[in-house]
Amino acid sequence: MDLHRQLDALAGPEVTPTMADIDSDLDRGRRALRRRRTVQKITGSAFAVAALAAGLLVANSGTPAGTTPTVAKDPGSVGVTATRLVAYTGDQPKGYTIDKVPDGWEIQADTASALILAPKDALDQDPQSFVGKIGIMLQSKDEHGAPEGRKVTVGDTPGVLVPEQEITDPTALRLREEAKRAAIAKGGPSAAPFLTDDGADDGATLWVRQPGGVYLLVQFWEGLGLSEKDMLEIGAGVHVHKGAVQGVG
Amino acid sequence: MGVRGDRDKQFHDFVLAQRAGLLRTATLLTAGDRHLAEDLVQSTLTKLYVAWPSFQRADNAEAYMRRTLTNALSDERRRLWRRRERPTAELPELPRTDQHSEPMADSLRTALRELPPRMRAAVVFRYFHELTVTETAAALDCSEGTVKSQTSRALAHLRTALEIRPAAPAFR
Repeated sequence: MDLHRQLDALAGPEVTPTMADIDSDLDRGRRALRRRRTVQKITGSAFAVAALAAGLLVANSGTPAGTTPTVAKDPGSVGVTATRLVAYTGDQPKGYTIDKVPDGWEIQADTASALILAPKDALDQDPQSFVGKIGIMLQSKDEHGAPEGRKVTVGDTPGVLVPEQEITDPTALRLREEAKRAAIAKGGPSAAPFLTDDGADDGATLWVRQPGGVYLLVQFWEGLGLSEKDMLEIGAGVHVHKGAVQGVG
Repeated sequence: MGVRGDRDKQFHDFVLAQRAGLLRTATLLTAGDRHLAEDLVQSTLTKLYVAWPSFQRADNAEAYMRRTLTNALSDERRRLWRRRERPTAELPELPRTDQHSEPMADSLRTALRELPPRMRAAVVFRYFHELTVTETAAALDCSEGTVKSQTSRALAHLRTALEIRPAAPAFR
């Protein structure tokens, strides 16, 4: 048997899609397009608010004495949950040391290949789950270099901040939905805001170049309320040591 | 569900014509995991629908579709990885499919699973779709040299895993 025939057999039979399959594909496409357009509108609005505020601030520099400035709020703080960073005082994990964590967070899981940071009272204690948490690891042996993103400086090291793409793949959506249902069943919607806020789009992965060329990855789940400054500060406080292991795949 | 506009009509016809083939390719890209393959196809079709005007303008629609599928594979792996898997020295067990359970199919499935995903994709495009090196490079968005080295290493692995001698005519 030749390779082509073996692959052909493994690929399985060619099954013509049903109308229901096609309708479902169409429905998913329409919803994804709507979401994208909504995000674009929101992003545009936020930019407009920021631009307006900046314009007013500039205008205010020339405001006559006695006039009350009309800009009362910093638009950057709108809708963002404040998360304070504190020094990490617990036991340091093998392979890494960390300096800063969000207040009330701990190292939930520590294995040779990854570190998971999570709130101390997190409902989700599954060490395999990254939902609502911060994951720290070295990049896979199968990957080289960093993806495209915004170049940043992490401490005194070059890095790349890669915003998380909008979730469209069905597996991730299904897993998120399952996690949300489980969290709500345990503690109500307020117990897991990062799961119930479908509009959160601030998830990102910080790639930090290490001396050997391998990258350290710090993955922030969306909806944690961390600013970019916080992410860079957490990333700058992660130090990789000999015991850290690269995975594969 | 009704088909409302040009995009919907074109997409509907496209899915009808291409879905079965996409699913077969995705099954190979996921080393025989039909469930993950279905997710991959859904993800690919969603991306194509969103980017439909660009897809329609593409010089080579098939290459565009293959690249989207390959990118979806990378996204899917990263999503799974970040949700429930972490990179480890041990590859996780994947569910067996009920069909094609003959020993040769099992061996091939296992051997494919042991390949890194892009190397697996290079094998699928070169030896299942019988694309040229240039076409495969376009699908994987890499150089032709990379395709050659990846397929060479992949074939060496498959020969060993399937205990087929290098002289076997199957490997072109």
